[in-house]
Amino acid sequence: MDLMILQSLASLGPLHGYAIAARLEQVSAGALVPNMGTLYPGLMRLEQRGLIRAAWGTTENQRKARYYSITAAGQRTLVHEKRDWFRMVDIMQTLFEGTA
Amino acid sequence: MANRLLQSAREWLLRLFGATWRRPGDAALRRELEQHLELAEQDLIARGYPPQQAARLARARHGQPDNALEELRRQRGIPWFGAFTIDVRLGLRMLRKFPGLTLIGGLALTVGFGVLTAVFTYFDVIVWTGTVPLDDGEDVVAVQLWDPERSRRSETTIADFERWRDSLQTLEDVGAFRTVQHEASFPNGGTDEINVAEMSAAGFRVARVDPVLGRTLLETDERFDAEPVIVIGHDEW
Repeated sequence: MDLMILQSLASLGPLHGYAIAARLEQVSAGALVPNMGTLYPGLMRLEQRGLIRAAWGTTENQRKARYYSITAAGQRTLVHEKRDWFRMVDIMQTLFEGTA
Repeated sequence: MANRLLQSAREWLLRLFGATWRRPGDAALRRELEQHLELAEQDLIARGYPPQQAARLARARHGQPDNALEELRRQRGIPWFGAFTIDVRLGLRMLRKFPGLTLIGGLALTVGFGVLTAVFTYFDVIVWTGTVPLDDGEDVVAVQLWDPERSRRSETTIADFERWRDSLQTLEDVGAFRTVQHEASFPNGGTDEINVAEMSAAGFRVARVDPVLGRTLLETDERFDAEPVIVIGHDEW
């Protein structure tokens, strides 16, 4: 979840919680709809770790909402986490091909 | 790795702060969660759902604000530490409000803990793990086999003893004994049943007691072809 949030913010810029959930639902073709009980603690954890920051802003419908944006530390973490992720995918790929 | 450690440290420091200091954060969190649901409802209505069904579907898909708020409170602080600080605060309030009653309660608990500690120490030192009344008796330990299925001590053989003596590195010396009864004959023609400890030579090295007459057991006495040797206790003598 943390990595998905960071990637969404890195690619789309500042987003409020619902926009992040909608983005994840969209890219997963409806397979993934993050529950608020998972999404918001994840956002709070990333904020506590200094990887994202939050600020109140205004939505397109002129409503106040809390917008999250990725920090420089978050960008660096995202680079490292993506590298680890792809390495793990390569390992699993090799493993599956070896047992096929 | 160092960055991850720093990030975790930062998170836990903030959580510790959140657990220690009450912050008026719940209202803002709840507002954010309710807005999330409103946006989800609007999205569903825009897709053609009737308002009532959209509201129901939004909650089914995104969860209830109360549940999410509970998770957020856990992430904001440290649950067990938060409960501990509440206990301390309550205790201090009670002390201020009913100082006499609180002090009597505290005193009763203190006495109770003291008595229990004394009783436990007595059983621990005297009954359960009493030391052998010898020089350095606290260093003497019993090694025995335990049968976990029957929950009782199982029989130790000579082979066990020899294996322990050869392989145990943490013990300075290993000896073995067993108590049996023998019939003793006396010069006046009388006989009596006496308790005898059949033992290896190490027993006397541990006891560090010199004989009044003769000698105690030696390693050579442990051989199967050795002459029988007996050390008679003062009382029997």
